[in-house]
Formats: sequence, C-alpha cells, structure tokens
Amino acid sequence: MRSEGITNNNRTSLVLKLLIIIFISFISFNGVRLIHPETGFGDTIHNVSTMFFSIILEALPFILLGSFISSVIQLFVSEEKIAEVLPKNKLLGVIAAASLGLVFPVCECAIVPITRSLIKKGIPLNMAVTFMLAVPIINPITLMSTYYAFYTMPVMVLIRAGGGLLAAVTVGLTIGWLEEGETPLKQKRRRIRRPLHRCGCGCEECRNEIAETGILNKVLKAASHTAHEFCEVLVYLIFGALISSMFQVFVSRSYFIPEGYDKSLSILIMICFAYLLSLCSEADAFIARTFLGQFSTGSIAAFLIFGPMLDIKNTLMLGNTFIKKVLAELVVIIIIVCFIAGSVINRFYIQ
Amino acid sequence: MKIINRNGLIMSCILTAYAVYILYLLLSGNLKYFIHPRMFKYLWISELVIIFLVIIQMLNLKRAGSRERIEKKYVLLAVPIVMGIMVHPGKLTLAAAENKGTASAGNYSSRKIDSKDIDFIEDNTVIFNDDEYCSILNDLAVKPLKYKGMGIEITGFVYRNKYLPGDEFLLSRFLMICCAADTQIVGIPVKLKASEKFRDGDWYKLDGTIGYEKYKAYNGVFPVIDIKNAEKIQPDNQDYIYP
Repeated sequence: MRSEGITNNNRTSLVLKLLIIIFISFISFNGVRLIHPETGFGDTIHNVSTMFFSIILEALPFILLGSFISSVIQLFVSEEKIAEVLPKNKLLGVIAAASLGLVFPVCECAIVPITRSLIKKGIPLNMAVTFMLAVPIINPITLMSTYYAFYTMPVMVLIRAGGGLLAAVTVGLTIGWLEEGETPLKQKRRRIRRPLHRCGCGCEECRNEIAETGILNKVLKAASHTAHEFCEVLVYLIFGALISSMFQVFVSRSYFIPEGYDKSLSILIMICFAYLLSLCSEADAFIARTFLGQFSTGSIAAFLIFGPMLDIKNTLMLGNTFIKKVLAELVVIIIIVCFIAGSVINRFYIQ
Repeated sequence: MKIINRNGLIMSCILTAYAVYILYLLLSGNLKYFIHPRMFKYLWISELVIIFLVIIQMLNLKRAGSRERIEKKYVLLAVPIVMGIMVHPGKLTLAAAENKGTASAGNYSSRKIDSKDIDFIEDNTVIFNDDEYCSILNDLAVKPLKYKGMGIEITGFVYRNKYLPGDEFLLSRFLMICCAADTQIVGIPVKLKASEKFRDGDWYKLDGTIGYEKYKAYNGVFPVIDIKNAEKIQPDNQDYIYP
C-alpha cells in the first residue's frame, strides 16, 4: 500500500523548490536592471548576448535541415545503397565523396552527425572524413558567399574550392591510412530494453520497424529522430556561440598588425582566428575579408579552408563522435595541411 | 500513473520556448537586429518545423516512457531562453563598435554607379539612403573629382575612433553583413563644429559639404564632411544597413 499524503521530507523539499523558484524570478526581474545597457558591464553582457543570439539564429535553419537529412539517412538509407554509389577504389571514392559537397548544401554545424551515421553505415573512414571536411567548403551557398565577400577578387572562390577539395582529400586519405582497420567512433552507452531510442544509436531496430509500417509512421519516426538530433547539436552550437561572441567582444583586432605580413606567422595566426571566429561556413568569408588589408593572401586562404573544418562548435561535436586518438590525429593533420596550402598560395602572391 | 517520457517532456518544453521566442522576434521585427533580412524566410520555415516537432514530441509523450536518465546537457538548451528574458538583447550598443572594426564600403556595394546614375543627387547634394548606403559611399571614395564641393545629407551616430584626427569623428551606421556577430561600422568622417557638442552615440542628421583628406587608415584620400547644419535626432528605429 502506498503511503498517503505528504510526508515531512516531501514538504521540506517542496518548500525549498518554491523558494528557489521565487529567488530565480526575483533575480530575473531585477536582473534586467543590473544588466541594462546604461552600465558599462551591462553593455558587455548586452552585446555578447546579442551576438550570441545572432549566431544561433543564423545557424538554426541549417542545423534543422542537417538534423533532418541525418535522420533520413539513418532511417531510410541502407548500407548497401551507399556502398554501391561510392566507387570502391580509394582515390576515386575519396574524390567522389569530396564532390558530393556540391550537391549537399549542409552547414558545418550539421555535417558531423551526418558523417557519424555514414560511418556507421559502413563508409570507409577516408571517404567519410573527406566528405565531412569538403561539404562545408564546396557547398554552393558557401561558394556564393565567398564570391560576394571577395567581389573584387573572384579568384578567391577558386582558391577556396580547389584548395578545400585538395585539403579534404589529403586529410581523408591520411587519416584513413593511419586508422586502417580500427574503429574510429565513440561508442555510446547503450541501454537495454528501451522502447524509446536515442538518436545516434544504431537504429537497426528503427529501420526494421519502419520497413513494415506506413507513410505516417515513417514521418513520425523521422520527426522524432530529427528532434533528438537537433537538440543534441544545438547544445554544442550554444557552447561554441557563447565562446565565439565573447571573443568578438573582448579581443581587439589591432593587436595583430605587425605579424600580418610575415609569410609563415600570418598563416598560423589566421588559422587560430579561423578556429575562434569562424561561425558558419557561409559567414566566415566576410570575416576573412576584413583581414585582407592586414594579412597575406595565403593566410586568408588558410582561414577560409581551415574555418569550415575546425572551430569551437565543431570540436565539441567531433569530440563526441570520434575517439580521442582519432580526434587528435585529425586536428594535427588538418592544421598541417592548411598550413601547407596557405604557404603554397603565398608563393604565388608576392604580398 | 503513467510514466511520462521525461526527456521528451524537457525537449517539448524547451522547443516550445524556442518557438515562442522566435515567433516573438519574427512578429516584432526585432529579428533584423540579429540576422540579415534575407535570412528571415529561413527562420519562418524553421519556426514551422519546430512547431511541427513539438507536436510530434507531445504525441510521443503519451507513450509509456522508459525510466531513462534525464539528459543533463539539455539544460544547456535553456540558456538562450533565460538570457533572452533577463537581458533582452537587441540593438548593439556603441561599445561593440570598438572591436568590430570599420568596414570598407567598397566591399558591400550592391551596384556600380556610373555617371548616368544621379538619382541620389538632388540639387548638387548627395542624399544618402539606407538601401544604397555602401554603393554611394564607395562612389564618393573613388571619385573625388566628381564629388568635391558637393553638398551632402546623411544620418548616423557619432563615433570617435582612434584612426581619425582629434578634431574629427565618424558619422556611422552599423553594417550587418550576415548576423550581429559580424556586424561592422561603416561611416564617413566629419569635421567637428565648435558650436555643437557631439557626444559619442548620439544620432544626427547632417547637412554639409564634401571635402577630401588624406587618411592613413584609408590608404589614401577619403571624403570628409564640413558641417553646415547638424540636427540631433531621436531615431526610434536605429536602423542597420543591410548590404
């Protein structure tokens, strides 16, 4: 028999919870006054929040789209189909994977979960990584934004597309070779006998379930998956956006002027900038543009290639997808490849 | 009592809060202080999708939920909502201008102006409008011979920056390229008029004459305004420029 009524313990915890809620409400209403733009501190909080929101709002549609595509891949595309489409030959397969970027207008925010599901489907690591790195750079929206950002210098679009393609292929082949025969993915803790699954699991059960059910059920399943995936990715976006906007407010650009013209140092600096400032691959072209007068062309190119591959948001998601060893290797290889790309381009431009 | 799927419940609440907040931004028009208007349609679509997802999640709640642990990281999703309520973000303040840098109008000109385009010139006076701000400013910058001595009518806020000589300020606007995080300052230098106290951040409508000066920061010659008449205004719509 369950005991009736509220016990003493329950009552105390209830009161406590009520007090906490009242306290938070109080802070919320008065917090507005503390944080009003008139005060200097309030200014900072206000601006950081505005920029934080803007990054999230800008990326939101793309994350939704990415989560949806990812869910669809997980639920409806079988391993065999994908294995059929991509050429078996390592080199051709990798190039094909990179070229997929032209038809996959997916933002870098969403490409990581999609890649994870592709690897789970059996795509070899080299092709999956090439795909993951190339798509944010080669997608038509990014290239268009690069074209507008570098209106007076349209060759930048070619540099970004070509350099990005080559870099992605190189990184993919390298890491595929390093990790031959190993499992690169983090295993999620599995729970037994879950009637409601979490996204990112194998979803074998879902696919089997779906195969027999009607359209309505398929749609519901896909929607449910999308919601889960979306929430997962959103967490990382929030984290990254917070750091990115704080950086924007607290760090002034004039600190870096003399190093801008040094051939090698400028590339390293721009790679760091790309890590910290590159928001969505569609927007970072405009940020890169603002550095054009102060930094070597090769370093700007490195920014444009490195940014979509690695940044704060990305790192968190990658860390959640790949095991530490693979993540470390990825980071190092990407940095080296982008540095080389930047140096090569600097040779052509006597800046 | 049925065991409710707790994670699903949290997600539904959070997604609903997002849907409400985004709807507020869309309907109030405040969204333009966060992202470029060309992105608005995508956010409308996203809004519909989120509402759809919320409904689906609600349907899933009815199903007997499992006793799975509450995902603590979903709490992070509430951060933007809490921030939105407490801080009320919106227009950037002048303090943000310092780190954002000044944009070169030439990068954002929407059209190339040739000698036949004179619709923004009236009575030998260049009249700036928000839609073509960058194109006009860029033309002013590259054709000093054409514009020297002409009148000018322009609106903006006062911003003193260290790249201009002490007796000048930049009459500026916020230029939103993609979103608030990459917004920059764009503007035109103005010679201080002794009789008027120009405070940083105040909005003015200026009538003046276009002159040219050599600026190190602009790598050459750039227009500068000699004020004839300054009118302090209180714009209720502190509009950004959207190239």
